[in-house]
Amino acid sequence: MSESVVDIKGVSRSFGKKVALDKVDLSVPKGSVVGLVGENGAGKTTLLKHVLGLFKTRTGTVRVFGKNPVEDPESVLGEIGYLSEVRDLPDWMKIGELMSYTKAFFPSWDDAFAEELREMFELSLDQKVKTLSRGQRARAGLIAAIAHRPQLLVLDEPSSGLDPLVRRDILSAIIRTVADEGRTVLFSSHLLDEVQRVSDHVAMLHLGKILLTSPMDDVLTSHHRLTVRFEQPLGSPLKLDEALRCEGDGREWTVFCNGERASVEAQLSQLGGEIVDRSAPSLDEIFVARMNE
Amino acid sequence: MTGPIKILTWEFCRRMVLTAPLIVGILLLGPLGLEGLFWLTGFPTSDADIPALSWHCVYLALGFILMATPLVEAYKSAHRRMFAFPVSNKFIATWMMISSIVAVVGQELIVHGICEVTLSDWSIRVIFGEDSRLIGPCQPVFAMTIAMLMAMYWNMKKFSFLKLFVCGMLSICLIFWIGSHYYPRGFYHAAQAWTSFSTLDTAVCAIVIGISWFVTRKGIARERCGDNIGYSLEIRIEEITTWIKSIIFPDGVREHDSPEAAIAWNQWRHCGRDAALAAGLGFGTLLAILLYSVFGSRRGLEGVVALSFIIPGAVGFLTGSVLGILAPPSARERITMFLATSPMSDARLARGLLANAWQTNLIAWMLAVIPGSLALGAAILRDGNASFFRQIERFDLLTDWPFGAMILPIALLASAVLAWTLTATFAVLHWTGNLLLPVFTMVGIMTYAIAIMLLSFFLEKETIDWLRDASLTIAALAIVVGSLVAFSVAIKRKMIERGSATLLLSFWVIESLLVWFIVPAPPLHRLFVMGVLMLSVSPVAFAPLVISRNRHVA
Repeated sequence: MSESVVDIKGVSRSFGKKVALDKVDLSVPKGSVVGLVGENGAGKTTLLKHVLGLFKTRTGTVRVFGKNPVEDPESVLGEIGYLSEVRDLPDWMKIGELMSYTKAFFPSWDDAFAEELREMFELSLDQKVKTLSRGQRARAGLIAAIAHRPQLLVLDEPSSGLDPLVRRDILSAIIRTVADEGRTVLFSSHLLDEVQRVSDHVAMLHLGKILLTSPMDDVLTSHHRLTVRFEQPLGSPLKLDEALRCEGDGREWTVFCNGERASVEAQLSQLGGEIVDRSAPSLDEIFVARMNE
Repeated sequence: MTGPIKILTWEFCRRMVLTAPLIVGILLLGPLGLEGLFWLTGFPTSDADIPALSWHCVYLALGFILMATPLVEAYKSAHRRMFAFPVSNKFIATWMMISSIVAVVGQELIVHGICEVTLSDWSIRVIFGEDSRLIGPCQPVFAMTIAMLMAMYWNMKKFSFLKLFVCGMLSICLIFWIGSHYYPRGFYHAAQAWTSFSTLDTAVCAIVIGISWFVTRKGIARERCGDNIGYSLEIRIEEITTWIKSIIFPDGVREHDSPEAAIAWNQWRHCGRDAALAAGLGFGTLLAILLYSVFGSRRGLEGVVALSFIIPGAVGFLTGSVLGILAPPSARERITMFLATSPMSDARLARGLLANAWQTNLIAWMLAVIPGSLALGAAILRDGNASFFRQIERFDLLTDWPFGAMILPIALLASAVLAWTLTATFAVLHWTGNLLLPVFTMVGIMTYAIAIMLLSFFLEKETIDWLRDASLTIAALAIVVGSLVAFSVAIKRKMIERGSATLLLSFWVIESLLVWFIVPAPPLHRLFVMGVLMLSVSPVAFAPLVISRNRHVA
């Protein structure tokens, strides 16, 4: 088993009556790109804040590089690059000042890499943060997060505010570059096509619980989409014991299942359905099917 | 009511609903609470000969700012919605002006009404005089002022120096017009109640309001069709401040040797220096005005000494509040994500922030003290050295005090300690991440002081004396014990070195000994001051603890 950079065991957290995290276990292998997916309010940001030591664990343990991020923020955070969802950068600073300011906190800051990123993101040194658009703020935040070449890159909704071009070309490139250098990326997103494209592991959060955590390839190959056609329209919604989700209307239905394809197909045959298509579902479809499980 | 008016009225009332009690609270609780605190702690308030003119100016300005600020806030976000309604510019200008006038004059009536009914023993009478009949002239004056402000606000959005000049001249005329009514015999004579309006006064108000409405309508028309986008006053001010900053920080992008240096640079460049300048210059100017206005007063120097405590105290309070809010930059409650995720231990982060607070406070204090010292120097030059020391000898407060000649250096040193104590205490209260804590602390202490003071009308003198003594003893003990616990916890959590803690506590012991031997006050009051002085060192222990609490939410 590969070494874990982040090791979370049995972490729970509530805000009043709302359960944000419920006995969450998660392990992030070294050198992997882990996509954390879940609907709004699923607990993604809360989980990332535990990783950063911004929340003390009430139950369970969080270890980052084998250390407690609350007790030892100096050494843990020195190896982390973080881009927050709210992009709370100091508004009054210019890009050049922001880079210089951030550099003071990270001895491993790479000036040449920072400059390369700045040029790639088309940001001027004299631009003030407060004059930047949302997308530009995200880019400035990314420079601050990765120019010190952190061992662990934590990105909270990095695509928020980025246009599709930047998302596809720049963000993916950065994430892949970091991972190719043997470093680790943990990022949350609700853009599942993006997660599918760049992640090699995925963790699905739903109502504070981890529904699924696996390598991306395993997730994609273990789920199936079956398109079924019946002779007559079904009078009632299709329900199958081992299916994750059945959707459709009348004669044609789509069934999503996980690993139990033979059994599901047998049930469909018994109901008089003809399977007209077998294909691999997208992560998006798997996510929706899992949410409605 | 029709649709837009109904919605706008609701929006306006919703935003303004808390303003009136807030103003009443600040204007009444402030002086009463201060008086109560002085009374409770034995501070000789009655000896301070503070001229009514200064208080009057401060109160009028403070009251007006408090009343007008929510209006600006209300319109900042509401006017876009108003512009989207199918109503004319004339309607918007009229509605804005009428609602603002109603709000400000309404609040003003409430505040003055309550002041009239509840005139306190010292502070309110000092301000308004025994025969206060202020309900009457203030209302049309405030209405006129708000109308002028409205006109300036909507027209200065497109900046020009000519407009700035006109606005400046109008403001000066307004101040002199108001002043000439309150001080018909000159500003160095006692204020007189301005009880009624002459026909000329009424005409002036009506004309100014009319012209303001017309100008406001023009400004709104320009804003609504987008013509105000241009060179705004805000842009001009920013250009000037950027220019000043480029002189102070000529390197542009500078390299920082350490995270602490970066934090200090951030604070100084952004909020620290602003805090120092705001607090220092504001109170320095106030001090200079006060000193200037007490020239010739027989007991002026006594007032100066009293103020040498109050003003740096206020400097400390303001810088503490500003730094406390801003030290985690721009965070309102929680520390910003940037600082929270910076690779620094809680103790190191706290030390960096405290060091910066100390530097800022020192500058603010110097800015407050320098104009005061200059004014005092001018007083000595005018009256002569011998006359100056004869005045000191006349102090009621300092009769039989063996350190008479040392009064000024002692007051100076004490004011520096006081300013720092307040800065650090309020910064630490803010750094807990609970913005209400400093507010509740301040309001709670003042309310308690007022309650005890009011109880003195109903209870036996012995009971009240016992209550006062018990309050002071408990407060001092609580501060000392709480601070020692904080030191102990901080040492245990390795947030502060044992040697540093010992050094700080030794410093507190020296401070306490100085207080015990120098301060001419009853023993219990001296013990209380000694307890309070613990707050000049204990923030070093409290700061890392509260930063840790703020940074890692339990």
